[in-house]
Amino acid sequence: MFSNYFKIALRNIRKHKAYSFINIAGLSLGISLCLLILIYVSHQLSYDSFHEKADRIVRVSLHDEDSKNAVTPSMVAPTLDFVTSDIEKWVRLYEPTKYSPIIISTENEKFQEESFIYADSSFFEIFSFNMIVGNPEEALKNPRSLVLTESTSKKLFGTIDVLGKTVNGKIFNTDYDFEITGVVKDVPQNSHFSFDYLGSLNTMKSWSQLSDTELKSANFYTYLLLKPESTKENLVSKTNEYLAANMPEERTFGLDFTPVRDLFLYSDFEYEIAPMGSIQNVYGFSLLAVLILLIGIFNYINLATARSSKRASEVGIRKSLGALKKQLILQFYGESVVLTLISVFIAVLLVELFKDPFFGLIGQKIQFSVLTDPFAIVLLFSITLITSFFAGSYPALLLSSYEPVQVLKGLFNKKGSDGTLRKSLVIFQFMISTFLIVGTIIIYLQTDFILNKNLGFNKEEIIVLPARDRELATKQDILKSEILRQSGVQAATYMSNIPGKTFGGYSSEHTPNSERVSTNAGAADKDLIKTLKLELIAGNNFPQNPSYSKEQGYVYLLNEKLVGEYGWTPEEAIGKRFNVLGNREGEVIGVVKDFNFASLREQVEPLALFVNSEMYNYLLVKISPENPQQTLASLKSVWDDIAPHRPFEYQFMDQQLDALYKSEIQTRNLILLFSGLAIFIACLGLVGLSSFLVEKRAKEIGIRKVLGASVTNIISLLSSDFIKLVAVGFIVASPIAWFVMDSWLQNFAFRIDIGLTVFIYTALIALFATIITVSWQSIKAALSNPVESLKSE
Amino acid sequence: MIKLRNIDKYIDKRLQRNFILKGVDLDINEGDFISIMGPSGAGKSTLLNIIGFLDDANEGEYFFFDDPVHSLNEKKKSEYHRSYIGFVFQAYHLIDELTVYENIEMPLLYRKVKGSQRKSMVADMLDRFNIVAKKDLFPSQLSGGQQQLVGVARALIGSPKLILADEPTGNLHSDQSREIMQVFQKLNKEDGVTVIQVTHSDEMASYGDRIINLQDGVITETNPYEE
Repeated sequence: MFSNYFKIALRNIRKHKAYSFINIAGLSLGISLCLLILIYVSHQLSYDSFHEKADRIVRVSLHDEDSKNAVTPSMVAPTLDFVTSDIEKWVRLYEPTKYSPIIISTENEKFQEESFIYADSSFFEIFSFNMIVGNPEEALKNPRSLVLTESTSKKLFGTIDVLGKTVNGKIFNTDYDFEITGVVKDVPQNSHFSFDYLGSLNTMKSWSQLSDTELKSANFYTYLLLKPESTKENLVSKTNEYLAANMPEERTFGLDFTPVRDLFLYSDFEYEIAPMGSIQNVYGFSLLAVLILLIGIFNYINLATARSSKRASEVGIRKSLGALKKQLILQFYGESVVLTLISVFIAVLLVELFKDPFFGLIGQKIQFSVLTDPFAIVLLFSITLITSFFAGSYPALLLSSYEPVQVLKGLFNKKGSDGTLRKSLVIFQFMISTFLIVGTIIIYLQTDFILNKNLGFNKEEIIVLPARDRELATKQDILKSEILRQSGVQAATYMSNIPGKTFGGYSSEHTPNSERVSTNAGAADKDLIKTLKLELIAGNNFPQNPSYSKEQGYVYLLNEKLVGEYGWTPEEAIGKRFNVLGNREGEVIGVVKDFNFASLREQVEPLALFVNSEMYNYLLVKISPENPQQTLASLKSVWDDIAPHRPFEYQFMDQQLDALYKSEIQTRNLILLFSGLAIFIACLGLVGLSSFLVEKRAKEIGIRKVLGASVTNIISLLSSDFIKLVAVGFIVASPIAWFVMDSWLQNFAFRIDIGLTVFIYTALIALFATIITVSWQSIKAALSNPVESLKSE
Repeated sequence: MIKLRNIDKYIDKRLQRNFILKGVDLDINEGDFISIMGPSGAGKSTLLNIIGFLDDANEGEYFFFDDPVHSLNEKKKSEYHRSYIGFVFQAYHLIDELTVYENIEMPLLYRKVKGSQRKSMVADMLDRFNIVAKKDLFPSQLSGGQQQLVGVARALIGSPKLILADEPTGNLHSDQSREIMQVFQKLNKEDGVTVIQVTHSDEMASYGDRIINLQDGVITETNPYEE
């Protein structure tokens, strides 16, 4: 029996090639996207679950009135351990490469590195990173011990047999000779933080900011391993008790504890250890995948019901031969299973072929193969079942209910209720398409807007050179003046922080009356204004050799925003006494116009700039747009001459700034792909539907032509039905799309307005796609010879 | 074998009731070969469909081997279809996607006949109708007469006690028609199969041994030959 069903299904597929192609194309595209997205989602949900003690690890963070920070002062962990008995272990991480790259040198080679973390020795007792060489308990105990990841070890030494070898690290202004005490497997992709080097925090023992007992600045990521019997609630209440008892009443800050597995998807902290994911993306992407699959399933239902009159006589025959309704239902389900299986098979091929570019598109590196991953196999199985069920149910129940006497006599009711269903499904498909087109256009316009917005400073042709270490500290001036002498170099400035990367957050005060305002602050030299083309709106630039010591005082440039926070006009600000962090007493000498030194998601924040050559991390060089390769070559030779201990590695500032919007660009790419496919699949369905309807109305068309209807009359007659459906879909979906996209835009402080044009374009695209698809069939029908269609009766 | 008592079949239209069959009484015995004749719209096919359980009467009683058909459920009706009744249609109604062999085999599948037995039964049937050479062809590759032969073969494979044929020769030319009628006659005489056919043709009707004339849903005359 089953082989009979199977045979019929296969032969049907072969016989109605166009019909099968439409179904299989729609379903396999839908299924492959669904698979990819579900794999992505499960990857996102799996973050940090590889830690054996993940259930008991929490990260401590600090909030005050207006911000939530991922970092805490170093004393927090030891203090909490003292206050409560809930903590089994604690570890603090400090990442110097967050501020500027470091230089790691072996005997033969030097590398500029960007992923170096210092950790307390308890690190491996809390986190489950797999140590393949060395003793995890001892590896981070001694000062200047260093653990490498497997691939770093191979990069430096070509082997993992590196225990006891030494490397030199230039970190900020200090040189360290590290002894390698271990090698771990590379950090899993689903870890919320990553590192290439793991140094012992004991190395930094003498650093003033690292104290177990005194309150210093918040620089550390603090993780606690709770005892098995302890709870987070217990920890929170003990902490609050302690804070209430020991802190002044007007205390504005508090501590938060986030389970490590929630960090990646739910973090909304500033100064995060690494870029985090977002649960909204996970929801959004999953919804999109389901929608695409639905469009494919709707095609199947639509085409199956449109074709039902043809299948009806088969139902009649089978019933008259003694088939039970149950058996017919089974048969039609069988067909949807066969078709789904073929689609799944093609989908697996598509996934295997396109997974890397696809994950690249959304910025993920997910190692995975559908055929070996048990999760994927379960997924395939459930997708097959779900798809066949949803696609097969309506046709199966509809067809099997036909009465043989009617269909065999050709009395089969062609109107039926299935027309309404078909129309609703088409409308729904085009709702989804409209929604996606609107989304695509808006995301495109917004990303375009932020990538091209005038930031208030010049970001083009600026080379960013990390330049902080002890040796360079003495050669700063020579390096800069040599670079300035090269042809093609227009300006250069040192900075502690660069636009797009975190500036330090400090509290500032206007000294006489001790009014406090929190601000971002950073160091730069007098050529900053010239290099970035900032606009000085009051006062003067930094002088040639300004002072920056406690004794002589500092000089400050403030931005408009900060001046405004103090309630001054730019002119009033000049000459005011000013202090950042309480130990940099000085005077305001100038005010610069606001510029976007952070992401455009945020408004411009207060900023104070001062001179301090000990804090410079970067050298920014503005080169002329002509012949940049030659300029870069001459810069390299200067660099190699003066700073042979560092590789000449640079980045362009505009690229660095664009990287801020990586997730927007990824979303944009993804939604473009989705909306393209959605329209494609929906139009495929329209091709199928229209060809069936044209076939059904062949006689009507023949009669009309005989009676004198022109080709245009016929085409518009046939197309208008579909255009109506698409129009309804558009009208229903537009407000929803507007609402959703408007709330997406709220993520940005600087955003576009959703104009009417977006919807006009969307309508045009949908209309255009429909007309092209439908008129193909209509024209064919309109041009056909009426004799052919009339004779058949 | 078949006993119809006061069968009514009608369609209700707003204020009017249109009768297709009215007060039909009919007895058919095993081994009969009956032709139902009458003008278009007289209710011939409806009567045949009611006899074959494809349609239900609105009023009246129908006994099939003393079983009250008017109160049978779908499952029981399917069982009768499988084991007692074979249909032959004017439009052949073969399944286009199946070969000749598979079309003939299909009723056996619904009767859950075992594979080896199925094979021999289908082979017999192909042999009997001289269509062995065509067994792997699809219906669209056959002539009308050949298709109808396949249709008859399919109806017979379940060794039915009753064959219902709705204008079996309506689409065929006379040579082909005669061939089909001879097959029916042979079945009737040699195997004792009851045959009921609907036909417009006097010639075809003459193969039977009893004619039922229908006029506007009412039986006007039976057994014209009995006089």
